[in-house]
Amino acid sequence: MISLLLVILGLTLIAIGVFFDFVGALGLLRLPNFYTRLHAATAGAIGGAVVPMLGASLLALGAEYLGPQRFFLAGAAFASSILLMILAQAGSHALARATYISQGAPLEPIEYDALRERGRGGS
Amino acid sequence: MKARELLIAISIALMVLLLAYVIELGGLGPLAPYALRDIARAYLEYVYNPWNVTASSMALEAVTAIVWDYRGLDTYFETSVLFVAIVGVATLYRGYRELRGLGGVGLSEIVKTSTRVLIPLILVAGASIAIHGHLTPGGGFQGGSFMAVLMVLLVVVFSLDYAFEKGLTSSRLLAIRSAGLVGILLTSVALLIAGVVAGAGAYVFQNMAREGSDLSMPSWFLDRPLGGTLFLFNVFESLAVVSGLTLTFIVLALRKEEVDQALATGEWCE
Repeated sequence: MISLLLVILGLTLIAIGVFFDFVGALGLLRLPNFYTRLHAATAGAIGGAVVPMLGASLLALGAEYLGPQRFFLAGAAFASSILLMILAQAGSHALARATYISQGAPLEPIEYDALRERGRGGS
Repeated sequence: MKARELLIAISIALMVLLLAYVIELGGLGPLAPYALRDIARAYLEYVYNPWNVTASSMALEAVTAIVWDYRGLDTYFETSVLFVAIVGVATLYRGYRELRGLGGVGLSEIVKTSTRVLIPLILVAGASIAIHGHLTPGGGFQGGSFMAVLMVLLVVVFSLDYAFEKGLTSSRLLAIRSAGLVGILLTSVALLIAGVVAGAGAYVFQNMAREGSDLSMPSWFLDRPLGGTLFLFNVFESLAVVSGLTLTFIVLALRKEEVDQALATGEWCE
């Protein structure tokens, strides 16, 4: 019973990840400038990799036919998802900040530039 | 233009599908051959073989055993080549000074915090890859490169000033690198020296007892296989690689003020 619940939950999370990956790919192709595309790529990394990896860990926990191996799979997937959650956003932040400071990409279309008032790229 | 893109997309999808179909049918032959070649079978039989120690290296990881035992001399010269390459990089920039307080602040606080989380993980993973090189896939070079990534992260994220402050100076790194190489050299002739002192026969790069020589490196540590020289080689190699690669990266990341003098004085710089 509990393993069926785990499998259903894991598959749901993986489906959510597929949705995020699709949205991320669409945004990468269709959004207008570097920063918004980076936003789409990060949505693909967090929603499309962290969430499905959590789902894979739950799925592995629920798959009893894998035997004791499933705990290794679940642990590895869980640890990688947490690490990726910490690191993917830091990478995107560093990219965006460096691009803003070095003016490596056009800002248009832009509504409001809060960082310009703070002098340099914020912290 | 639209039709052409569509055509390209359909043809790529068709290629992937058909290739998968062909592989599934076995049209390209079995991807991993089922039969081991004789030489692979011999190595697998001898790598960990307590009943035939004279042909064994008593390590569970066949790749490390081949790299550092069966063809140890080759690997020794590989390490020397890497050392010479690093000396070459240091020679190109000879005469540079390491300046403190050039105002390097590194990346933002968010990146620094994430990196702080990562530092112990990378260090532990690299050390375990190096120290368990005779038990699990990996080895000294792989573990050393792993830890060198950490040093590169330190330099990029926390700035070169921070690295110098924490003691990652090039003279110290070169000293560690040389110590690692000397350790490898001593390990490779350790049993030979012991044999000469004790008056028994021994070989260069000898690990376990061989024909004509009863001397042997320790093959067990408590209840774990140790692999004799393999363990020492891995540890020294990881030291040499982590310091050497870090030194290379630091030299390549030097600021303009630090290399100005070295470049301005030209060829004959004292």
